[in-house]
Formats: sequence, structure tokens, C-alpha cells
Amino acid sequence: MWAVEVEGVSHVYNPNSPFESLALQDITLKIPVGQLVGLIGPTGSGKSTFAQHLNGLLVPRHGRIRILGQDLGDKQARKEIRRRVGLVFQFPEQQLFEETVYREVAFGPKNLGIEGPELEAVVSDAIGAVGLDYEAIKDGSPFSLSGGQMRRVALAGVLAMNPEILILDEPTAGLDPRGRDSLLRHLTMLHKQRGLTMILISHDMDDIARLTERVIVMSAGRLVMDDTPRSLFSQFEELRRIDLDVPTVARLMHALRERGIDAPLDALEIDEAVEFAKRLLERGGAKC
Amino acid sequence: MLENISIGQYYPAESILHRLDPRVKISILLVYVIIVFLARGFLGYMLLTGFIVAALQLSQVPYSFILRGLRPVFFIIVFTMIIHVFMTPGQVIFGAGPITATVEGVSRGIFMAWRLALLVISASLLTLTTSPIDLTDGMEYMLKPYQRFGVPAHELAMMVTIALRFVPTLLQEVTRIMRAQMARGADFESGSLLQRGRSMVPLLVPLFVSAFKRADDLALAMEARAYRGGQGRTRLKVLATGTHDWVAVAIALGFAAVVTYTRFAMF
Amino acid sequence: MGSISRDADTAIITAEGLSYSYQLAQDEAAVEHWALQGIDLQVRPGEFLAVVGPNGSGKSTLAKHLNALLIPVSGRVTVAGLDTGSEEQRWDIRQIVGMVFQNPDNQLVATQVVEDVAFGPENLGLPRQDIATRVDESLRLVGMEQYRDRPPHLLSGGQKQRVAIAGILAMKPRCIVLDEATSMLDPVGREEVMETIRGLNAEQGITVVHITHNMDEAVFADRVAVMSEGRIAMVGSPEEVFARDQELRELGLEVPIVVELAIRLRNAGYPVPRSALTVEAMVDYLCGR
Repeated sequence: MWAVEVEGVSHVYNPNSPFESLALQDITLKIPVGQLVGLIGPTGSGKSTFAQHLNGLLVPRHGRIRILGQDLGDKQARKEIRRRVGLVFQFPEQQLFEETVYREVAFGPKNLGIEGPELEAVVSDAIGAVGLDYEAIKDGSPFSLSGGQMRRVALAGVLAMNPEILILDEPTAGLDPRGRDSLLRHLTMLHKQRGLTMILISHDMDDIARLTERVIVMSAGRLVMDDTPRSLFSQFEELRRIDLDVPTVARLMHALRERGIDAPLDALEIDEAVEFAKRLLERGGAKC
Repeated sequence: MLENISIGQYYPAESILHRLDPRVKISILLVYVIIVFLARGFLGYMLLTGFIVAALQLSQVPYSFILRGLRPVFFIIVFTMIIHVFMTPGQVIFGAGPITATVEGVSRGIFMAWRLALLVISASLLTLTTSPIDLTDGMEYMLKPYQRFGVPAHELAMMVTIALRFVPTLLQEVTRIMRAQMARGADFESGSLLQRGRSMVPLLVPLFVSAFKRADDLALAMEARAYRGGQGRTRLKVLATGTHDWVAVAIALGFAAVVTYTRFAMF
Repeated sequence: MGSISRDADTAIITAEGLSYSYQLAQDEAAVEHWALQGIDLQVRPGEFLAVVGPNGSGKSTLAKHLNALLIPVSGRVTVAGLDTGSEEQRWDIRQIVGMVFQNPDNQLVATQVVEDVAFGPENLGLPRQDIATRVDESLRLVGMEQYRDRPPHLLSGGQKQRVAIAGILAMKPRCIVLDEATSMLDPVGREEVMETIRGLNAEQGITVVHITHNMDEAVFADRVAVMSEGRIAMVGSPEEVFARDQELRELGLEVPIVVELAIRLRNAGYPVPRSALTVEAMVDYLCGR
């Protein structure tokens, strides 16, 4: 079964007003269950808008969307799909509001009708899954936590709803290197342990290259590229034209190519860069 | 979409009214409001209406915008009229028992409704032809002489400016928060009044928390730019009156005199 | 930069034994945590100083001492000879050292770009004509002239930060402090801001103190100060600092990927120069230059 099926979807901002503009144009795509997809594109390309269609927050003007086999055509279906699709917005710590961390994380599952011991299990589970100490923080105010911890609480709030599909919009935005590493590690673990279908929207090409198995590129509301990280990031010119950067190693390889060296354009990891550099230097340097 | 709403319904154009000094416009509006309450009788109201229509023509604002300004108060106007029609004692036209429509009632109802309409339209005209910045500047200037009596003219103007600056930003944020909470199953649409009130908490608390943070950050940023209140501050944009302003004042005062005359001479 | 005298007089900002605790500053009896402990630092005129460190290392707290937004609990901070502890001199200090903050929205105060840029000079009580000239010039220097009449909420993050920079420039500062001013921006915005401040540093000679946890941005600095738990762990040129990659990792920081590549090659016996910090420099080396 497909996790996500999108056919010919278009969306318009501010319809029938002087500010009307095309947000999404004719998007067609399928994502199999359990895939970890990266979604990249310049700001304004429609990534967030697209993400909000996948959990029924937005309705397309044209086209069809099916999530886990369920057509999102009617309002009831869109409401129900929010149980199964978790969407974590950018800077999610800005949505915290409860008096205790427990109640904050419980908000989502409670809205789904979960209560009692099951609720407690789900909440403690989610808080643990993001790397926080349940007993230590559950009765404290979410606002007394550090920025990084607040973000994890917000993420736990979505995980507690036990979604089958998890969409994360710039989950590491604003975090320091340690925070970023830790969060990404937890996300990878979640993907493996829970078999989640994950869509990771990010500007960090190194993260995308490292974590995802498939990368989708959006530009000006359209889906323009869809490939594996290696294959995608070797197309430097193409990406440059859409104003996108590539992972550092890919940039290095491309720069070497420009100097006439036959560098492997699909190299993404630093180990590969080290190996190739060694070979180059063995040959006594390249005359370029 | 929300962020594209223009604040204060300002309609940008290059009309004479747009170019008038905001202090002059505010003052003329005040005079007009006084005259509206002073006037009596058909002649007076026709003069008032004529003045407004002339101003509307000069403003280059489409009539659709003006009428849109009347929409929120439409029911109040109708309601006022009905109250007066049925509650004024006098010569009965129709009705039974305590609920009777009288000639005097109809007359008064019409004039009260007319008065309300004139007040709303004239106020709208001010906000339609004066940008929020100019309005704030105008108010600050006019309140300045009262600073010695403790009126914080500068602080008030600063507060209004900052509020105007942040309204679109806050609207953007509300949309974001709303969507984020809906993604967690929050329901802002259905339920009883009480339920819907309670469902506002996940919307309002984050908004307030962020608003207070903004205030903190902004205060720090302002201090970092050497802000310490209105003392010793100069302004880039300075209000300056021109000939057209004084002509407008003269016309307005002349008009006020005429209407006052009709009021007292005829009644 | 050659041998610059360590004499405090040639530094534009000097911190001596600077310690700060938020609780003590508010007269609370129990000191749980010192945000800054015994900081000694000099900011040299015209330099581009990057201050890096993980969250909680005190970078932002230090930044706010540079323009007297915070006063030391012990120790001293002087700006161009003026003591930040003195109330009357505070306002002069804030003209000399300007600050751009992390949240692009929460520092823009007016409903139009041109008005916001004028805010600083207005506070300084400058004559109208001067303000007008400064505003025009500042907008030109950050490349935002065509956005004069735009309301702030219609600008991108990078554009908002550039307007904020223009607002500082209009006060004709000698030094600009960027307090994590790029951390909430997307790559395009970050690029815009970095390009702008590097240009201001190189062409206008404005001293820049750039607080960040993004090590790729520190590569362009003249000097890098690394902070950890309220102290300065190391200061030096980017080459010197990044060569100590193990220590950086222990402090919770990372090195740019190119630097890591260089280090691993060096460990394998290849004499990669310490100046190979960027892709271009690495390519030069690999090409045998």
C-alpha cells in the first residue's frame, strides 16, 4: 500500500482576490509506506503548503490526495487523517501552552479520545522517544525548559498521537550542532523502530544527504526532481539553477570537476571524499 | 491572506484629501462631529450630507469602500431607526397597544439614522485618506501641548505605531499556531459556545507568550538603538501645513458657521 | 593581522575579568549559575571576530555586555575607553556599538522600512536632513533601497535582518555586534546577511563581532573566540582554532566538513595546510597549488 498518493494537485493562495497566486501546480507523486523522504526547495517553493495538504489542513483546488488508502476528498476524512499523519511545524516550541509537560504532550492524544492508563503510557512513551526524562519533567512547566528541550516536547506532542506518517518541517532550525545531531539521531531511531513513513523538509543538504533514501525537489510550486540523494546531488547545475545548494562533499567534487579532474559527482560522504583525495594526492597531485 | 488586510482601511491615492495635513483632517472631523450633533431639520442635514458627498468626491475613494465601512454598523442604524419609530409618543400611524409607530417617531428615526450614517462615513473618510502613520503623527502632535498635564503623547503614539507594525505579524502567527494545533486534533469550529471558548486556550496562550517575548526583545532592541523616551528625539518625517490646509480649515469653519446659523435661526 | 599590541587602548572593546549571573544581577540571594566567569577579551578595531559556542555557553550574555545592555556583576567592560557601568556614558556607547538580534521580527519597530532605519538617528536627536541622508546611505549599503516603503511583515528573514543592519549603520557605529543574527534564517537569508557584513567590515572598516554556532560562518573571521560554560576556551585565527578539532568536539561544537577532511588527510600523512578551510582552498591544495 502507498502511504501517500498525490495526483495532479494544485493549490491557490487567496483565491478570487487581487492577491491570488499559484501555490502548487500539478503535483503528482507516490510515497511507499516506511520510506524516509527528503523534501527540499527554495523558500517559497511550496514545501510547507504541500505538507499541509497531506494531513488535510489545506484542500487542493484540483487533484486528488490519498493517504494510507483514504481519499481526502471529504471533510470528515480530512479530520480523521490527522490521527495518522503527524505534522511538526517549524519552530514547534511556539505552540506550547499547557501548564505541565504531561498535559502538553497529552493534548494531542486526548483530542483523539485516548484517556486513562493508555494515555499515560502513550505520553511517557513519546517523551522517552525524544530523549527526555519523563519522571523529571512531566510535572514541570514546558516554559521552564531550554529551547532545545521545548522543541522535543513539541515533537513528543505529535508522536504521542502515534502517527503512521510523520512530516517534519525544518526540525533542526536554530539548534546548535549538538542539539541538531541529537535530534536527527532520535528521528532516525524513530524511523527504524516504528517503521514510520517520514518526510523531512530541510534546508540542510548535508542532513538530507545523510539521512534520506529519496529526495524530492520543489521549485515555484512544482515538483521538479525526484531521485536518490546520490543521483540528485550530482546534478549540480540543475540544482544551482533552482537556487539550491548541494552537500559540501558534492560541492567539493563539482569544484574539482571544474578544474578538469575526474571526480565522482555522486560522492556524498566524507569517507568517500577522504578516499578520493588520497588517491589524487598519491598520483602526485592533479595538474589542473 | 489575513496579512494582506490593510490596517485602518487606508486607501492609497493622491487626492487633495490625502494630501491634507492629518492634524487638519482630525480637527475638521471633530468640528464636523460637533455640527452633526448640533444640526436639526432637513436643511441642516442636507447641508451636512452635501459636505460629506463633496468630500467623498474629492477623496477619489470608490463608493464601494465607503459603503463597506457602513456594513458593520448597518444593523445598529436600522435598529436605532426602529426604536425611535416605535418608542416616540405622538400622532399614531399604525400599530396596536404599546407598540405604535408615530409620525414624530418616523421623523426622529430617520434623522437619528441619518446622523449615525454621517458620523460613520465621516470617520471612515478620515481613516481612508490618512495612513496610520500620519494619523498617529497627527494625534501625537495634537496631544503634545497636554504633556505638561501628564498626557504621555509620545508614548501613546509609540504604542500605536508598534501595535500597527505588529498586527499583520501577529495575524500571521495566529494562522500558524491555529494550523499547528489543528494538526494535533484541536477543533476550533464545532461544539457549544463554552467548548469553543475553551478551545481558544491552545491558540491564545502561545500567542500571548510570544507577544510578551516580542515585547521584551523589542524593548531591548530599542534600548540598543539609544531609545530613551521622547526627550530629545527628532523626527525624519515632520508634519507641515500648506496653503491647501488653511483653505480647507476656512471652508470647514465657514460651513460650520452656516449650519449653526440655520440651526439657531430656524429653531 | 600582524602583531597588534595587546594594550587595552588600541582595542575598541575590552572585557576584563567579566563575570555575570542573572540572579545576582537581580539581587537574588542564591546564585545558581554564573552565565559568564572571568572573561578577558579584546575586540580589535576593524577586525571580524567570530564568537562561537554551544547553546548555554554565554555567547549572547557576553554580546549584551558589549553595548551596555547588561552590566558586569564583577569585572569591567570598556568601549572606546568608556565604562559600560556608567549610566550617562551608556548612550554614547550604544552609538559606538550597534547590535542586531536573533529574531528578525522583534527588532523592527516601525510600519515602513525607511521609518525603522530612521529610528536610531531620531533617538540621537539628529537634524532632519542628516537623518534623511543617513537613511538613504544605509539602505544603499545593505542593498535595500527599493524596499523603502515596504512594511516589515512583507519582507523575508534575510531582508528584515538587512533592514536591522541598516538601522544600526544609520547611527554610524564603529562596531556592529550580531547576536546569533543568522540562526533563524534560511540559507539564502544567511548568505545575504554574511555578504552584507563582510562587505561592511572589508570596505567600511566597521568592526564586526559575529556570535554564531554555525562554524561555516566562523571560517571567514579574522579571529575566533570559542566559549564554553561561561568561559573563553580558546581564541585564535580560524586556522589555529579549527586545528584543535578534538577539543571543539568535546565542547559540543563541530568543525566544517572541509576542515574535517583536511584533518583526516593530515593524519594520513598529507601536509594539508591549516588554511584549507573552504572548498576553494581545499581544491587549490588538491590541485597541487
